[in-house]
Amino acid sequence: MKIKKRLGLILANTILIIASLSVLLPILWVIRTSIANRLIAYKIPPVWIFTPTLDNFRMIFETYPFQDYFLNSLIISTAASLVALLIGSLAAYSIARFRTGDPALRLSMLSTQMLPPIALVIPIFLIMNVIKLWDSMTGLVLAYLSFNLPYTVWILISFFQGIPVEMEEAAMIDGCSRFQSLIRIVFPVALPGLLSAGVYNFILNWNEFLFALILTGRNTRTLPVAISSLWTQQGVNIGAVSAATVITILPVILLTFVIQKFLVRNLTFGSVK
Amino acid sequence: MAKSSFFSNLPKHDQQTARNLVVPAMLGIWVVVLFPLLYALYVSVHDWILSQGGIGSFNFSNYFTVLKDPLLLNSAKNTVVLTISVVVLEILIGFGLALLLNNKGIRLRNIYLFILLIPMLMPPITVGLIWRLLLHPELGIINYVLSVIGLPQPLWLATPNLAMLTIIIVDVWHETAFIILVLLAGLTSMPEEIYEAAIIDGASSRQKFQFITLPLMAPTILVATIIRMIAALKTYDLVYILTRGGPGISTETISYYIYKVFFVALDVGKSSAMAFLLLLVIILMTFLLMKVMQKTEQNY
Amino acid sequence: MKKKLVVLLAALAIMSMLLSACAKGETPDTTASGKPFEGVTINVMMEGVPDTEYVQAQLSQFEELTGAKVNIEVLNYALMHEKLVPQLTAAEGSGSYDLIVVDNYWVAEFNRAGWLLALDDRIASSETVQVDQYLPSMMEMVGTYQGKTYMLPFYNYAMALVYRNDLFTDPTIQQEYKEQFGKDIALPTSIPEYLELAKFMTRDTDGNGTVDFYGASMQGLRPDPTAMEFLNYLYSMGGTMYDLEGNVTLTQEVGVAALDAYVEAMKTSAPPGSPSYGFDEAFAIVAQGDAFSYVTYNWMVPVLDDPEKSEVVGKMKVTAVPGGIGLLGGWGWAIPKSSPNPDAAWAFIEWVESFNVAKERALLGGAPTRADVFQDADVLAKYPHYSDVEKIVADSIMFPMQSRAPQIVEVLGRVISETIAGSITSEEAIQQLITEAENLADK
Repeated sequence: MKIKKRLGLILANTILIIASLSVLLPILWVIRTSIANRLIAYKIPPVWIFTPTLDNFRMIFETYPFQDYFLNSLIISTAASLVALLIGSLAAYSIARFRTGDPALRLSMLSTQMLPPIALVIPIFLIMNVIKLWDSMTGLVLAYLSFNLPYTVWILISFFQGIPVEMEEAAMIDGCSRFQSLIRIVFPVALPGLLSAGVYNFILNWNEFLFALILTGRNTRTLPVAISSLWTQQGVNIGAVSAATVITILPVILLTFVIQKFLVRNLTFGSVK
Repeated sequence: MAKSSFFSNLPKHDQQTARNLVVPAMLGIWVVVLFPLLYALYVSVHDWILSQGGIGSFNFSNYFTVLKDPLLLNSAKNTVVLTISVVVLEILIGFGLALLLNNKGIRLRNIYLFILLIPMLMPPITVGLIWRLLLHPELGIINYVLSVIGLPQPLWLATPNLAMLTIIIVDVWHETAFIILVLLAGLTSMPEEIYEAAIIDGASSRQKFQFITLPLMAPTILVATIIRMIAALKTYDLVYILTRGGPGISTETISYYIYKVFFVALDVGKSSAMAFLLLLVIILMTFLLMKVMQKTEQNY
Repeated sequence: MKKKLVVLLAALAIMSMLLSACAKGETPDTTASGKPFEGVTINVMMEGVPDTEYVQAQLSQFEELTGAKVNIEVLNYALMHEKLVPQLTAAEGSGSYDLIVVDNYWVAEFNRAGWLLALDDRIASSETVQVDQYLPSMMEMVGTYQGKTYMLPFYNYAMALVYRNDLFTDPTIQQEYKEQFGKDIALPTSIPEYLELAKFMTRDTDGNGTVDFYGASMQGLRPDPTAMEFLNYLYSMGGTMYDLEGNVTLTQEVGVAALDAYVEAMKTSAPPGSPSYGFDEAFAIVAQGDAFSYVTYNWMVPVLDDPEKSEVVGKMKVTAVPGGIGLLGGWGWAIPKSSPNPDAAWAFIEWVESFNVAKERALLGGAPTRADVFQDADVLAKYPHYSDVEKIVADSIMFPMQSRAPQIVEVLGRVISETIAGSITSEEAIQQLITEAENLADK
């Protein structure tokens, strides 16, 4: 029995190692490419030992202001995710506690995710142009709400359902209003859920491309759009793309690493009661 | 109990609060989703090619032309193949890995998980560009490694039947992380008491999996399936970067086709009509999956 | 409990700060200083190509001269059209770009939609702009549309044949060629001759049984890489797509012959992965020294002479596409009707297209459009091959001036790719192409 168990563990570890390697090796290749020049990047058989160069990184920070794009991405992704959390959590609470508009409201939240974004882009552009929010962070934040809000509501409903009504009732007997009890009792208890939803949205926003392409200009360009402009008619500057990729995924990797446990416990999209 | 009666049984002031709380979210959805949606619907029933002047007359001809378009039919076929393949593969692989990761005996669990989640954090555009580099038949590392170990070196993106498989592989590489995350979240939140009881009853691991894990995980798997399916039906970025629909028309997907009708042909009317047809299909499929989900929930 | 509340309040505060940071609020500073456009910001959308980099390097001169600030937003080619179209549909004066560059296939599309400002009056009253200095083929392509001038040509990208001169002049190879064909090796003057030479050059250099050097590097990716490459074959074999009145002139016979030649080149002389290659992959094959020749932009030679990017430094030469008539390409400066500052934009065009500035750009490596720059002694001293390039630009044929040109490129790319993939025959491909070309023609 013990041997069987040990064999099982070895097998499980082997599979996990293979899976991790198949994810990791391409990423290591990206890191290698980011410190190679274009000639070495395409050299086959590959050159294993070469003098690394920081030219690609220097290029993306000097020729293109990637530090600005980075900041734009950070502000926009965070703001959209926070706004969605704020208004989404109120709606999710209402749906969870009072079954407001159930099930139509809950389903309509989901169905907003079904239209190909391409059909929404032009009308959203027209609106933004009319209300003068083109090339503004506010405009992109609003556009991102179109998918941040539904996901937030969807993820949070189950969290609020999991909080016993008695806790709120106790608070209300102590003199809290419904709203106060919401802020003092419900939100803190649902914090893991809020965090997971926020991070999930942040990642979606961080990587979003089509809206960012159409709605940003020089002042608000985000990282994915900036990366795509390294792909020119004369070819992909693969070294710079790799360097930009490293810069782009670094913060999200760190973020995920820090709150991995939270995510794993909480991102069930309301499927576990 | 009818759901509406629950709401109307609430005290008046709670009804009011309940309504007030959803107002901001509804407002947000109206501005950024509903209005654009209605506008697109309006455009879809008019002739309108941007480069040929203003909006034309009201008619349903866009829908008729679209339904007769052999290229749309071809891209619909490709989309179905792509969606079914990636969803099935990602769920199988993702569930398998999530089960392994849920095993308490795995010491490096957090390290594995951390690595496995990385692809999810990469923008699709970089995933596409990087895989183009890796898969280059003459200058890519993958075919070089295959040649070193004496395996055949396929032309990943240049062979009609293989190109779709290549897109599927890249998509699985990119998106399985999401499935792992959601399913692992489901697994970790399962009540341990049931397992303990099962162990006392002398259940084998297979029985535990079949009679406890699978039924309890069914709703989570279905939610993950729905989210991935909706996204897979809308795939265009990987196609755009890896193959542009080629070789021939073997990897053209509906979303990529709509994208081209919109941005290349500037046929706003036709592309909106296609977007709505796609929307109908997605709603229908989600509805079916939801029905299945409710059934499964009732069964257990 | 209080702690949690604090966290929440902090989050709210951060959010409101973030949102208030969102306003861009750039108010022009209108302090008088005698400079005509002091405080004006000119927003320009351009593609990431060498000529754009040269313009960026020159910008400070213009800013110094006029007091205007120029913001150049650089984008990749495929995304420019996507991004421009919504902008151009914006109401007059309310767009975000003051000045744009227009690729030749968009000229008819943008003008038919009425998105560009006619420049004739401005040109007539300008002291610096001399329209007759531009090569006529450039002016026809990215200058005028239906008798009015909407653009000034910025740079050319006429296609040419770039080849390995070191191999071409190698005595062993010359000897081998003579033994095989009974004549001296020569630059091909027709597509069939080119196919013959490319096949001859395709070989297994290390003797391991697999071909590792190719006669032609090719780009079969849909839609524009393959469409542009194929048009060189079509034009060189005497075919065209449309006449000047917009009637379809493509015939089954010439079309099929050109497509068969193109597919044959790809199957016999190009790397096996070519059907999926875009510009970058095909370029990399040449830069790594794995191909003899490449039909590409005439200004690729300086790039292939850059040791950072290439292993074939000093080995490449450029000549006309075999058959003499390649595809002409080019970009023009244009002011969209939605431009908020058309006057400042025009001042920029006048400056950027003035002789001295254009010459300076050519000396940096830019691709000229003006005869006087092509023939300038300093320019020729630095780039002697520019006299050949001038002839290539003059002889090449542009993509048809059709308002649905992007869609025609899309169809062209699709039928070629399907023929290469073997899902349709070249006869079917050309048949479909002719039908679609007729459907898409401007009536």
